[in-house]
Amino acid sequence: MQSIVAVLLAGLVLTAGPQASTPSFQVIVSSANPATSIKRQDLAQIFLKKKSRWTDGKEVLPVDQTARSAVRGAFTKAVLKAEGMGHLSDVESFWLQQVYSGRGNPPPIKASDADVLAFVQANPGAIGYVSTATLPASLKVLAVTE
Amino acid sequence: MRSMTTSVIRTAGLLGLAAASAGRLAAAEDFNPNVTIRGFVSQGYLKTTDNNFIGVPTEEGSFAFTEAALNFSAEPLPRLRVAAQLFGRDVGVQGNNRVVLDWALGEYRAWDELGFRVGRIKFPTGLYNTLSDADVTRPEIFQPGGLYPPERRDLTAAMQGGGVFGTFNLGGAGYLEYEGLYGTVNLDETYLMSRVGQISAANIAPALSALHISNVQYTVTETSGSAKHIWGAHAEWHPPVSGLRLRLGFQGANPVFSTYAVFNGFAGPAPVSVAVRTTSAFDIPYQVVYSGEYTRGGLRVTVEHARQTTDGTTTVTGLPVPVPPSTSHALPVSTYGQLAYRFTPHLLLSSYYSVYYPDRQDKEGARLVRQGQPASGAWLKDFAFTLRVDINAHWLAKAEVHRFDGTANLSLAENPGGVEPEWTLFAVKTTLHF
Repeated sequence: MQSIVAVLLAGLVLTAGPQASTPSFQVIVSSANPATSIKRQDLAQIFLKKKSRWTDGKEVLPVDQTARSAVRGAFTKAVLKAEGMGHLSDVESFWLQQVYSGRGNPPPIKASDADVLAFVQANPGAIGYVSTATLPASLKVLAVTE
Repeated sequence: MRSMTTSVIRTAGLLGLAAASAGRLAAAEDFNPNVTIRGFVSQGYLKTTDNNFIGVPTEEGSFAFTEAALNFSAEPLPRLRVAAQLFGRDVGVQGNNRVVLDWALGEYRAWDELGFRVGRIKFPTGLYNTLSDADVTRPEIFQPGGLYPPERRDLTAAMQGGGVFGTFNLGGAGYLEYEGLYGTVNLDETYLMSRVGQISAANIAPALSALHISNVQYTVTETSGSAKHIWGAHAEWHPPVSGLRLRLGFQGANPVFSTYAVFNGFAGPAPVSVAVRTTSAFDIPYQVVYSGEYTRGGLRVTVEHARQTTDGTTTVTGLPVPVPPSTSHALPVSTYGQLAYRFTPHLLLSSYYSVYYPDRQDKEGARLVRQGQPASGAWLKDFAFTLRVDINAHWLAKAEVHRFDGTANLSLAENPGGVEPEWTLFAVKTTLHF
């Protein structure tokens, strides 16, 4: 019995360890994009569609992941919590309010990391987030700063 | 019977359109990710312990509380957005399931700091007036009545015109959003005008009694109304405090209401008929709204306060004796505080307390009593409690209770037996949305 408990505990530790140390999402853009980092507030404003331009004046095209994905939850908590939207239900409520008041459209939603990668690859101004996917050479990761 | 059949067909048509559009949504996302199509259908039940409310026979209890909407939005070109919403409602005598263009706009965002909107646009009074038709977006069924009055929705919901909007990044001080709008509102054939017509006629009847015309009965045969000038502007500051926003808004309007009513009575034994036109021109030079909201975790705390000035001139023609124009001056004020807490993604509780005085110079109703009206029309205090359950991502239900002190939101014409100053409203509503 004790050995079974020990194995279960070891399994929990092994499961929790990598999750705690590995970034839960990475922000990706086209490698042609001159940016190397982005402030959290700017990132939040882009995904809430309150900021629509890169610093060089080109259009920003944010792309979200489905509400069911773990990476969407991690991104929301890390980036949008400071805007008062730490939970997906807050973000969904915000977009419902924007849509039904005629004030805005949510970003397009993709079903997987692979779909986001394809979207960002196809749109030079796009910005998205993925979990730990291996990036094609045409994409790069932006560091998120405060 | 025919009108009922027509209403059912219209509602069925709207639902069919909604269903067909839902089917296209998935396909639309495949080739144009910037197209959004959404919609909802709501059905509610209203019951009051006393008094009939917003044109619904609520004292008996009524299911005449249906709303449906279909919403389109697209970004066909960079910086350009077009959007529209079809809306149908049957709320007692209001709507009768007639599908109308609730709003439709084109928007061009030249820069983040400056964009332009034109069309029929939801009017942004306070934090939540733009959501008055979208039950799915709110914790509560009925918004606080002083700032978001359902009985005056026709004037306050949307306007035709244009405006500007934008966002300024304030660096370490957060960011500032603003919006300014100017336009007109057409009020013909609205519930608001039917209420105004009844009020105007009721105010004339005593004048005929003073002319020794007895047993006066009246029929309102024609109403028309508009606000040729309506404007609004607000600035909303998002300081670098997580979840906090502060807003200052101003709006004004010049609504004009015209009523034509026929009065029948007796001058001695002889029957008399008098046709009277009443025209009331109001000037609302400003309404200022202070708003603050703090969101943390599942908690949302909202406080809003509005102050207004309203000047009116009423002209009556057609009476046997000429009557000089009368003037009015009122200072409406309203305040509410709301707490909403989302315990789980499926369960939300909300409560608010709202106080509204149509004229803060007459909080006790002395002026109304002098006019032969109940004093309780001078105030409305509302304690509301709501349970919202999101059963799944596309279906929600709400149950709500309001304990009212005051009748400032009631029509005396809809309550011919008189109004009860203290009354309770029970409301339940379910919404399907996609």
